Amino acid sequence: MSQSLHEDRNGCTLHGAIKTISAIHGVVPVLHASAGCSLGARYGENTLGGSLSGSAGWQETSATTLQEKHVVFGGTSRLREQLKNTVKVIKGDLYVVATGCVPETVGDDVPAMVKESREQRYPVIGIITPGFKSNAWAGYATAVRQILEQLPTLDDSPRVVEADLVNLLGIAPGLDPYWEGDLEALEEDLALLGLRAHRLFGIGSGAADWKNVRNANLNIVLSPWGLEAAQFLLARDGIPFLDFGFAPVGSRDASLLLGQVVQALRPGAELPIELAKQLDARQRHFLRKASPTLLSGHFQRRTAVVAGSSAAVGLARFLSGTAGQILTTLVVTDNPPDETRPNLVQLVREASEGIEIDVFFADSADVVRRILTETKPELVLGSSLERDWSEANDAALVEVSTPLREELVLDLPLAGSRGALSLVSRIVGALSARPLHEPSGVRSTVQGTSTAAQSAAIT
Amino acid sequence: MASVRQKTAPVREKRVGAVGAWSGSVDSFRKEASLGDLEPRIRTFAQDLPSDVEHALGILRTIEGLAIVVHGPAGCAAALHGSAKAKTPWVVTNLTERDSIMGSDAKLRGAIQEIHRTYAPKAIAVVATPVVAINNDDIDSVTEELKDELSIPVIAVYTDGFRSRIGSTGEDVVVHSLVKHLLPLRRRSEGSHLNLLTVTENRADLDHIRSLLSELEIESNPFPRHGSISSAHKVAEARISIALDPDSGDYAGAALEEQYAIPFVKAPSPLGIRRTSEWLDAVGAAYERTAEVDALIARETSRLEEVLHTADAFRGTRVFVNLPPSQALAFGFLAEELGLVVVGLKAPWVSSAHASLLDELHAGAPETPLLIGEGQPFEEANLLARIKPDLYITTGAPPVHALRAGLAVVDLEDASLLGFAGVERLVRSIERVLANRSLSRFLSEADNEPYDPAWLKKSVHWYIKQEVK
Repeated sequence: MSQSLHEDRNGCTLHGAIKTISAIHGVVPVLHASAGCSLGARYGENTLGGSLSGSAGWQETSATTLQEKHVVFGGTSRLREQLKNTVKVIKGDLYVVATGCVPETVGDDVPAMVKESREQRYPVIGIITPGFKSNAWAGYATAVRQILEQLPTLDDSPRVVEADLVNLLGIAPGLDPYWEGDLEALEEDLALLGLRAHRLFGIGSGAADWKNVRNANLNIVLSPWGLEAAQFLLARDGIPFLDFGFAPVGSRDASLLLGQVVQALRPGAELPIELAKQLDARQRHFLRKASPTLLSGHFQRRTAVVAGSSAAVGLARFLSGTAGQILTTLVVTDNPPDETRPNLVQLVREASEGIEIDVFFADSADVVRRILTETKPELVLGSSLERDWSEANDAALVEVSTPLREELVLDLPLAGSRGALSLVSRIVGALSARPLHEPSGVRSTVQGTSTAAQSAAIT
Repeated sequence: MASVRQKTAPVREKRVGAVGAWSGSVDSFRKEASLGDLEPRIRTFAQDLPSDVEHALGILRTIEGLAIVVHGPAGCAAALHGSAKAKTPWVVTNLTERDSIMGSDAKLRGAIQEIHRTYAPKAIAVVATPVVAINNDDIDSVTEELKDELSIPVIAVYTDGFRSRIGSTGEDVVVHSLVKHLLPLRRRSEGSHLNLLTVTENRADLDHIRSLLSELEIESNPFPRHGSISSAHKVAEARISIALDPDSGDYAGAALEEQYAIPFVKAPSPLGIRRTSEWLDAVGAAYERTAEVDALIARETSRLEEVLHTADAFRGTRVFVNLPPSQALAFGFLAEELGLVVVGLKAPWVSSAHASLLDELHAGAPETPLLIGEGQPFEEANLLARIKPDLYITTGAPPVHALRAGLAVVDLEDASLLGFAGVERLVRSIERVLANRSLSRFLSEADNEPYDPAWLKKSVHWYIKQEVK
């Protein structure tokens, strides 16, 4: 039985779908649900996540706003009416119907309505996304897969492989608060290899990119939530994928990603050593610039990271593996599928510099607080939901995951060197005037003691 | 007013004949309203808007000492992540597809017990959501049982997301539940304080009005918004009740009158100098402190002289206002005081009872457009392009559509609009937004309108139809 959630941070499947569709420019979500269901998806815009879409506000989502009579008699005719009028009111290259709990409970025939619109030559598809299925991360995963699955019904041009084209999958708009900056940063890094990347979301994205996804030569998967689409594209179009597992933070993991991409595209090839050195050199220059402050500011703290899989792993590896931080606790909050968890734990531990890291999977705010109370970090990289605990326990907090209340996120990335360096600046800001007097609390890893128990959720 | 013996509050449509979709001129509205209740209308194209669930959570999250259990899928609780942090601890039962088929009583019981254990709240509200309402899950038996087990009020709030077209119905549902399950059965004693009925007001408005009342040496007890569980007993002991927004406060006022015979003093929403004075006069009359009230009004009015002098600089500015009905339709009073010209009105809902206000205010401009509906920026975008106001004033969701259209926008979401402080706040805000309009100019320079040009040429009421029963 799923647990009840204290101050739930992950929303529902429909939220993930609405965030996903809203973040693609020129693609118009059409909500088929009772009133209010899309607003939950966009409350992040109240909590410093920024607007998801190019220009439309959070109350501008086309919606059937189902009423009692639709619950009793069905809402398909209301959807027909709303679709017919949406294409007249809102400009778009593609309209995506997303269903909430109510029509899925009463059994509305959404595919029939979509088909009707298509017969009138409107570019409409429908995806099944009732909130009670899962959380919004899974909503992102299923929405991306379902959209890709249905696009050929509009335009079934055969796959023409473009050798230098790759797709980025697994960074979830609005759930990863730094999604737009991260996607741009990764695109820039891949351009160093002469590759073009489909970011698929945010500025400059559009329905055309999505139709072109099947022509890519490789899918790069940056979290467990990108696997569903990647596996689908492998099965349908034969596009191979690289399961990198997380968003690389810092030059080392940026190079690691580029190296794996090179190998995936040309087996046996390697990343030019000069390129890796160049990425390191730039980051080293700026970390040297930071060094006086890092030394006098007692930068090394017992640290906990509380975030979704992709950011949690990326941050942990940079903090442990490059920044010399005493990372002892990792709380993965997006409830990733069980089969992906051992890999996430492995990725974190292999960069831990011999410090034992307790890895937890927990999404309920009270469970997260219990973990923090047990592990006593001096620095927390988490969400605003960890603010009260941090203040009560004299720990510094840097907000890196949703919901945010500290700083409005615009184009700032968390990924790559620029993300890593801005993170160092923010940690220094949060640590100021917090003297260091406690023992580090470090436990060394001893081969064989990393038990499964440490990675299990506290319940 | 339905009796609190009923399971929950009636929908606003039934209770006051409210409609949430209407477009025309103030004159055509007046004519239709003179015939009785307005014809129910629907939109054949709509944009998403808050349901009763979001409105209910909006109130509950401000009540000190309360904990909230949202009974539904995880997403139904998202409104609790508002722009300000919720005062209340909360959990969501996180219903899954399986729960919705197999039943969710055990889960609800577990969630209530857990939030009680974790936060030791003084009361717990259980908020129902669409899935629970469709499945007709039995909440009452769980809340009744746990009320005894935990020895605190456990309050079932029967929102459902689809019974009403007017989200504000959720406000009545909350009031109904609190009166029924939180307040004492009987009035034990009579205090000298008044119940300040607050349903939609923000904190700044409430604080200002309460400070005016305390100058009159009148203690005020806010209920339900920004109220507290520990002062719930005081609600039943008040000398009078008075609302800041008569449209949303009247349900509570009538319920307290019915339950405890507390007189509900009718007064207009205290928006602008004249209406604030009238509101205070009503309090003064009830407390027999008319002299003190007169002195307070005189002092505050003279204090505002300098502020009104500032307002001379933007005399004649053409404004569009999007406010709750009791404020939007009465905005003309304040506009007159500040020399603003109202060129368009928008409110989330309206009933024919509002017609008399409009009569008085807009007799000189009967063609002023009136647009009714919560949200629905597509209609506003259409209307704003026609009337081209200089200024847009609201307290609702951030009107990004007005900003990208190049308008100067005053968004008073968390600032005071009511009382004397509200006059000052509004003037200062207008002064600022008109002083530098470069941001909205920059945003509007490229075509970023999501709406089809063909729609913007149609009449604003194109998608509003009379409901076929």
